[in-house]
Amino acid sequence: MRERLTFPETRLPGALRALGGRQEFAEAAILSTCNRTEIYTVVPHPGHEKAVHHFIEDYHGISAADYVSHTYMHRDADAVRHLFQVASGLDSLVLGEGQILKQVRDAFAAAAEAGTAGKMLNGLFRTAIATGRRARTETEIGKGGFSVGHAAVDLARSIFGSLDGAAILILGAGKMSELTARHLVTNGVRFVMVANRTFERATSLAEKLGGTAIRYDDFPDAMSRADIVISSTASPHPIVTRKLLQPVMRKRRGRSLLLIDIAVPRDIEPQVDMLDNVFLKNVDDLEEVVSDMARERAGEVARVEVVVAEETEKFMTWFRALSVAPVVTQMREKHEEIRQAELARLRNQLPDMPDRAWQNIEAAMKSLMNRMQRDPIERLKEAAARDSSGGGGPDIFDAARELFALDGTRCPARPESLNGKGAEAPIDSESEELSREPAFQASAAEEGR
Amino acid sequence: MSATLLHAGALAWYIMAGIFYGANLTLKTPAHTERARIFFLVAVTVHTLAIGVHCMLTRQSPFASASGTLSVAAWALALIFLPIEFRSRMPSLGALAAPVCCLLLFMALATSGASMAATAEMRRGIVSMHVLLIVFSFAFFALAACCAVLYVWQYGLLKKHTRGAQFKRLPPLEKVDSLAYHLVAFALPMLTIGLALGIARAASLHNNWLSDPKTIMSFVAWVVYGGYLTARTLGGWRGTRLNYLLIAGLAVTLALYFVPSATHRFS
Repeated sequence: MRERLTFPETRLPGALRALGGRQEFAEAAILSTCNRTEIYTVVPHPGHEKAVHHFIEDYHGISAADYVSHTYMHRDADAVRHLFQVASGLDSLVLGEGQILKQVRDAFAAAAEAGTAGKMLNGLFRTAIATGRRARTETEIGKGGFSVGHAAVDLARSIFGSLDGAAILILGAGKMSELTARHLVTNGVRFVMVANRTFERATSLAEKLGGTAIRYDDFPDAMSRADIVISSTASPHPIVTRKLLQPVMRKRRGRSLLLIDIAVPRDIEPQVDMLDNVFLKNVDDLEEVVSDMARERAGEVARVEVVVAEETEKFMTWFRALSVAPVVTQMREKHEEIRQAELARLRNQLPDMPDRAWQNIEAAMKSLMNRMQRDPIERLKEAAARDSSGGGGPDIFDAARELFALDGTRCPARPESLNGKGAEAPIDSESEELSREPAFQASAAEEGR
Repeated sequence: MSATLLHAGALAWYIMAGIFYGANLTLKTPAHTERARIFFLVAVTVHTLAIGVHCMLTRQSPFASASGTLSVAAWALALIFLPIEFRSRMPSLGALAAPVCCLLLFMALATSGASMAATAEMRRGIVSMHVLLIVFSFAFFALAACCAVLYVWQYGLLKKHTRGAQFKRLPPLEKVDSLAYHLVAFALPMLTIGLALGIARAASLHNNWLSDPKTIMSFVAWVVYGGYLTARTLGGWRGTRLNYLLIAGLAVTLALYFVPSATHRFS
């Protein structure tokens, strides 16, 4: 099902245009990864949530009855919170993984390019990206990883701190050695030596990693220069023994040596761990590190949830405040018109008044107007911030329009452009409904957790 | 406000910092290290004020009494630790440094009633400089020993193949080893100059300074740390054994403080 509902990168612009072209949506974005397909829309009409299903049915040619049990839908604050959780990696298969943040950024970029992301989704996705970043810097949700390579890096860091300038020796040019070494190289290791019974394979891997190939028989000598040794040969017997390592450690003069044995059967004799400043880690140790990392990340979920909750609250405050702005603007414009009209009338009645006096009168009128507007504006802002449902509380905006006799036919928070076509909000029989705040909506299809 | 009260206040702040640093290192849920840093900073500020007030009220060098010398030792250790903590972020080192400061300051408060050596000898610049350099060098050595303890601890965890709550909070072996080396490299010349000043003054007095137990222990400490630096710089050695040597060096410096002395009494 997941494959049937996905939006491949190449088809995403077309899908966005098709989605944005529908009258039901003011704005739209699609987040489609290997693990999830989510559609984010801004719907001016509260009853238009189901239009997402119509779009999916039309676009993918699949009946809603076939996939609807695999989907979920969130509205308003829940939708916002969901996207922030996704960006923070809380909703990922691998908790806290970093790739999702890039995918959220890409989804937003695609929507912006297709012209389907307006003011709302712009604010939503930018805040989501900031939330994802904040979650990763303020908590340890993104620390470490879940592979043997990550574990090797973690262990190496607990010994050497920074890996810049560290040297690794790879024994056996297998795939596991390469993956582990690649993690270390990505994390700062600069000197790579590769030894393999077949010298050509050693050369090939060394070239891939930007290192040097050495003859297999020379590896004991190379061990005195390395800080980390990764061993994964197919040898049936241990190739690194205590007897071999003793003179190496004498040469190293107490410098720490991390030995990572990922071979089965083992390449490194367990007794070498008894030597001073030698740290031997095998696959079991690495798996324990991986489990620890997973536990640590799981322990960070509550802290990330706090970040998500804070950012959701901040965003919803901003979102609700958007609905105040048009009322305030209309009110100010109307009062300004009245002020100008009164000034014009006075000028006719008092033509001999000196300019200095006019300036004083104008300033006094302006000050009076501002002072009279201050309290109503403050009350409107407070009401918007209090209104946690984003429109379900007492409709103070309608009351304000009524009291100040403002024009109620304009849609206050509707984006000025729809699908990048610059279409104005229609003034028609639906105007009353359009004047309500638009709602966020996140629909997702077949998401594996 | 009396100097004793200020010292007690500083001790309270050091204790608070120590509790937070300790909790960060030992508990599964890390405490707020930022709070520990702030408490430590406040402690150092109050401590500085306490030493200043003490000097103003008594019109004496703080080294005129055992209490004052201990207070300056704690202050020196705190002063050395602060930039390390703010630059390198090593709260685990604070978990050891803060209790050492507390202990020294507690000993200072406990002996604050003892008489002061208000002699002309103590007012000599050469003697003050001698004591100051030696106290500061020992503070460096004490901090180096704290680093060595962290090294040995982390080393043990790595060898045991167990990753307790501390494992992630202890600093990397190489980092702590390097810090200990730099602390000793800074302190040894200080100790050497301090000892040379002491010898110069003692020689001019023609007393039996060479056979004084404190003098002998000072030379033992010099040999221990000199041996450490030689092995580290000229021999290229590092690792657990050298860190054990730093811990042994601290034992020598503690013994140095407690051994009776005939030439180091000025009252």
